[in-house]
Amino acid sequence: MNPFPFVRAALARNPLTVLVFMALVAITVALGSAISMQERALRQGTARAADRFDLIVAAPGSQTDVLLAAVFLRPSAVELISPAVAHDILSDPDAAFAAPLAFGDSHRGSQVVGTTAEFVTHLAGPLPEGRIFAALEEAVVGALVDAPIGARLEIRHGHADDLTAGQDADAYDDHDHDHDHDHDHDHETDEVAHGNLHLHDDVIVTGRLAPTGTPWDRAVIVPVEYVWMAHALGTGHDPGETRIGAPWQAELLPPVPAIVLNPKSIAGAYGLRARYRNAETMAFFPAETLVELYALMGGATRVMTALTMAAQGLVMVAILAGLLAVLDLQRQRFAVLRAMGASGGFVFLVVWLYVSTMLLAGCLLGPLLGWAVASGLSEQIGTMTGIALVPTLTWREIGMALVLLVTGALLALIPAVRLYRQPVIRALQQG
Amino acid sequence: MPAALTVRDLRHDLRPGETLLRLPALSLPAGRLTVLSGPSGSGKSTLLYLLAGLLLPSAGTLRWGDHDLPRLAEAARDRWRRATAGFVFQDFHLLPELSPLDNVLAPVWFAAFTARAQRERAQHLLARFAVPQRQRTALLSRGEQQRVALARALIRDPAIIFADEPTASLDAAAGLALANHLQRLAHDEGRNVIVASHDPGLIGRADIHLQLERGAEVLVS
Repeated sequence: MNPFPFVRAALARNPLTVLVFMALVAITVALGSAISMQERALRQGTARAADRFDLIVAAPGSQTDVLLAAVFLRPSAVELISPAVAHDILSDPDAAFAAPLAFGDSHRGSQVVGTTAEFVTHLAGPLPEGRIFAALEEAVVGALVDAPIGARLEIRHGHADDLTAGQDADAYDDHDHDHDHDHDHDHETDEVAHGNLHLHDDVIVTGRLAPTGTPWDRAVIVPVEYVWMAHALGTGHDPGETRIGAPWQAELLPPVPAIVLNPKSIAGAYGLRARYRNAETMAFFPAETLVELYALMGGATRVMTALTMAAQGLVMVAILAGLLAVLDLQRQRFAVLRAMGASGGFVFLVVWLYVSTMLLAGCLLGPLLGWAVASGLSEQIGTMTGIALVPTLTWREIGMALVLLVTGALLALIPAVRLYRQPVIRALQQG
Repeated sequence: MPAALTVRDLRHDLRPGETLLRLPALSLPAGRLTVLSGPSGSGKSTLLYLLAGLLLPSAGTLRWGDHDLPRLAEAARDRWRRATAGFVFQDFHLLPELSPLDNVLAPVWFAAFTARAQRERAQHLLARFAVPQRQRTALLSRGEQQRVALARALIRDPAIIFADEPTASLDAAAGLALANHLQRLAHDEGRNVIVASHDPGLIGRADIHLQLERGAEVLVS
């Protein structure tokens, strides 16, 4: 037997209705797929962004705030580690290196981050262009910063406008006011023009980082001493000394918002974490905090998935009801097939294939549509956060579509059985 | 062609105590044009469906050759109809989404995946009934559509043709042409052609005429 010409005829009879049913199935599958892909892309993107931050030490407070500030360069109000404690951490012999992080300035929408050359190399690998900074007023830029090698960048106090959105989250803000410094500015009028955004000394770009898929791709990275100096906190070295990087002098070191430790071994990592979990500092692996965030995100995803599944169920029932009505209009045509000698099983197969074809088309289109939606969302989130999100279609989404297809195919048995069992004569006579 | 029909004491009740028709005896040899006539509601179509095995009688025997239709299971009756009978309806019941050729081939697909072997026969039948093959089915005239339906009924070369008011929705010329075709199918090709009709033109050509009256015995002449 060959039911396909009859399936084709049934599909062609109400093409608009068929397209609407297919679109409904595709959209409902796409919603579920998009949520699943987006959640995974967020997990992978954020995990990748935090990958190079082995162990973070900060003053006691919110690990999430420190994580957001250090890894994702989001303005957060973080406490400072006192200079004496910071000095001990920075000179810990169990760390391959220890890099202080300093925030609080910006250049044309890019965050300015102060740290060490060692950490920059650890974060992004060898520079594809130029060289790492070697002097106080040199900088390297992230892969997406629009500044060529040799460019002179104007650094302003305060966060990048598009990132702060009115938040006051500068770790050194209070400290600045406490010291009542003048920042060595030549442009006092800018303070008036830009509120608290005043100018520091320019920096010269010496290199560009390889892309990392993290917010650091949009950052201007300077020696940590530059940030300290700009905030009138000294350089951590003797006055007049032009050297940058460790070691710093304990009595000259300013307070530090966060330190990234690179342990020498895995066992050493846990030892360091235990060592700096005390009254004066907290130490955490970024993955720990991310896992907590993922748990929150996962909970939200589960709720959204449950809602999507409920919506999928309702859509399936609505489609089924619609199909029963549409097929009711075609019952005479199926009765005619029976009169001409088609078996009940043949009619059953035609109806089941008719419904299943629509479901199959929707379930094939759905994951692709979901991928397109997730890609669009990822692009937007990437633009907002700098985190590279790559949604991928996996067996999970295909499995979800398959579950819907199988469920739908089982539900399609209802109209198929209904038409299979209809009295032929009544359908022939009633039309 | 084993198309001889024998009926004994056939009765069909609409519900217990309400008989629609009774047919004490009927014998239809092959090669006859039989017309069932009577007023609306007299049971013409019902008798046609009984003879085609689409409906089961309340009592009696109905035998086509060796096949006692009421005693066959539904699937066996489907198989018998598929192998032995062709159907023509008042409203044609073509599939407008398919070409005229595919409409003619439709019954072949009930049992076979491919209709390649019957394609030539289908083209021949459409040519015989003067149906333009390249025209879309929905754009054919009513007469042409009914001739496509007749070609469809003949595609498997059945011994029996059942036709339910085949000329009722045709104009006079198209109705006359169709009546000629049906008569030739009986007389020239030896098929048993059974038609339910009001059409005097068809009744006038009948070799056997069954007159029905609701609730009464069928008169055979």
